[in-house]
Amino acid sequence: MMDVRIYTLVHRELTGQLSEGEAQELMALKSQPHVMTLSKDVETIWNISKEYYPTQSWNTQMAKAAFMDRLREDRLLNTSTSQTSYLKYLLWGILLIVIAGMSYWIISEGSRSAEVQETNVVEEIQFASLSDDTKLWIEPGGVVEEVEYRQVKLNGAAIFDVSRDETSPFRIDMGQGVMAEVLGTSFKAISAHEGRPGTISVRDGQVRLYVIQNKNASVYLNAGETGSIDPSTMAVERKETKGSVVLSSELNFSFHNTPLEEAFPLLSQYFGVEFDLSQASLLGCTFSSPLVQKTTLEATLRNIETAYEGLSIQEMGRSTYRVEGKCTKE
Amino acid sequence: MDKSTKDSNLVELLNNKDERAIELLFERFYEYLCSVVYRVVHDYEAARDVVQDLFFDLWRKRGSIHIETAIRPYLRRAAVNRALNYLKKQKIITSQDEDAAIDIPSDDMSGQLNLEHEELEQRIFNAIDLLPPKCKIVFSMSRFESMSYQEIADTMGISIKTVENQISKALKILRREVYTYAD
Repeated sequence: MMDVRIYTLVHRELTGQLSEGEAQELMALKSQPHVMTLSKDVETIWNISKEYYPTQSWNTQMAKAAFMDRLREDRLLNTSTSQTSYLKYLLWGILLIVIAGMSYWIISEGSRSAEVQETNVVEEIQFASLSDDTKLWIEPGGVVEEVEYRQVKLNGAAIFDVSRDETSPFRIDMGQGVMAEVLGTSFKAISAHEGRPGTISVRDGQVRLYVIQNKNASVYLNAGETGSIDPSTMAVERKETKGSVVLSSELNFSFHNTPLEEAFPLLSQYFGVEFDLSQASLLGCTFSSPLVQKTTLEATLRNIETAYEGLSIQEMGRSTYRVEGKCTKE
Repeated sequence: MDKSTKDSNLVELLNNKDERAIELLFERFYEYLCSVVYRVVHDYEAARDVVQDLFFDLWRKRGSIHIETAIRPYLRRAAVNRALNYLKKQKIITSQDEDAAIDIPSDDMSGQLNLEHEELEQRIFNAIDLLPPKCKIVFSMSRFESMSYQEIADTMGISIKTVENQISKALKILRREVYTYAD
């Protein structure tokens, strides 16, 4: 493995990532002719490889022709959509009248309750991923609607892990004119609702929280900060986040001799975080916690660490925890 | 509007929904962006698709494009982001990357080749093409996108140790391939 170390040090030197200690280590290694030769070779390869480009001809003209066809198809689609829209409105109108009539008949007959349910309101924490690869965990009672590419409407609470795309900001309509805008980051958002301010707690990156109607009601939030805007008073609040940013900490769940390999995915689901288990050996170990009620993720993870001294669980940022070690009981 | 139209004016014209602007942008940057994307995805067809999708989205967002830098670096950044997203979707980037020790024979060759620059260059480029897929991606992120170990680890969902291993592996393979005739 010594070679790996030498190559790493030489590469770190070439890319300006060498620490002071590593610089001394490399200098000592270079006193050996073999290492000096290796270093020179790698430097030559590194410098020349910068010019590497595929020799393939990309045929711009043919590609452009195909691209322009695609634009034309798109335009035709939009045109045809607008031409048929009148007919569509008419049909929808007729359909609505029929539905309204049937509803009235059902209610007046009293044959059944007319309780309306939103089908997309989640009953338990639910994981979803959007078309741009953004991941989200929605708290019970919450609804997230993907309005268009990289734009969603939130009612309730959810944790977002937004995929980075500098060409296209990700926007969340949090209700009552409160908006959040990001390029790629991880945070928890709670929508504004009946006097409740729209709130953001940032785990990683930066989020802009603002109100559409009032440019002054705007705040940039960084990792570790929680901010809110009350749409009725335009009051902006910004403070340090207390504890970890997870979904509801008032969940009821319990573990009874649950294999650790199953417990971590469950915790992932409950709290809207991810666990990297690739460095952990969990086989044959179980975890019991009679009723983990109103607990925090941190407390639960510390309980697991206490139960298994060989395991260490560390927060790596961006909603991810790394579990390392072997779960042998002391 | 013709070929002498400045890049910054093209963005303005694009925002005014002038179709000729997207045509000129395509003509100017298609080949460059394909090469940039190829250096990340190492797949010709995928590179073409990624770049075409990028221009298509640019057209769809016309009217609301705000670019604070020059258009070329902006498009390059956008293309690289899309290339990385493509790799993620293809599951080429996964957290299950091999962290195994490198099992390449020890290399004590002299390395003192007196090759002509062009020959050496060609040998290096051929060797890059021969790198194992994941190794090539990690090497490309470091070499062509100047990403730090931490950034590569975050992007690929792997540990810094794995990044170190993959970079070492790449450099070792390249050295072996390039200087193999020294023996």
